Amino acid sequence: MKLPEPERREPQESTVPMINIVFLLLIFFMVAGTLTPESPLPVEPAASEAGEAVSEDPVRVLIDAEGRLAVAEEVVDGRPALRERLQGLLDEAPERPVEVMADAEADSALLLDVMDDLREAGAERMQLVTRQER
Amino acid sequence: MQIEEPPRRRRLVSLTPLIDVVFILLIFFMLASSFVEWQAFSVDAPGGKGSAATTETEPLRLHVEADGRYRIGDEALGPSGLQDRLQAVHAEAPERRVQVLAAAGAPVRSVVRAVDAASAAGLRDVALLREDAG
Repeated sequence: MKLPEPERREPQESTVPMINIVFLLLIFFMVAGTLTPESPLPVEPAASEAGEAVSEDPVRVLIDAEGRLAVAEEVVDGRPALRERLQGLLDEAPERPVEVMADAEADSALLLDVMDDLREAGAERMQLVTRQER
Repeated sequence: MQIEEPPRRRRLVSLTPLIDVVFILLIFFMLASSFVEWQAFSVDAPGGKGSAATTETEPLRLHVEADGRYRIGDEALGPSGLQDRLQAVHAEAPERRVQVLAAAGAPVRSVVRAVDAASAAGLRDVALLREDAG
């Protein structure tokens, strides 16, 4: 009686090509992506076609869809608290650029209120941040 | 006579720990990096009232209604009509100032689209104002 030969084991696949690919992916994500600190509020700004570059190291005011506010990575409780915090920040560094990042669904009346607060706190210029449309 | 054994080839360093670390780095960068491109509009909020500035040329007053539609004077406009209208305004008077008057309740999305349309049409001097109740 002839027994079937035991199947020969295939040689193990080399892991080197996989490492190459993984390295490439790693380098891609390191170079192409930008590391951003986690936002204290979920904000999805509106998209726009035109626009200018955002400034570096700004005082950033966030407005989310429910109307909650945050400034300098901290959630603040209402506009009086926001104004106080802004005043402190802008007294410290009056030349710092100010950015307002408002959710697309937020009420524009609140956006204008926040802009009034910024003006009162002494911000000369402010930028409204949008997402680049492709 | 004893012949020397040929020196054994040294075993390659195992690649598995390296792959583990690279994978972890890869996953970190995939999760932590963001590919959203931000841009910004510089906007003025002069006092938040529509009637503050008096200049020689009457600025174009573009109203954003609470339901997200646009209006110039009594002429209601859709998003595409808005673009054409602003381009016509730019062709007539390239330096004309634009006031975007946002009604309470209008989402930020519509306001940003209006500012974007003005900017795309070449009108640079855009102010964001609150629409008066009256």
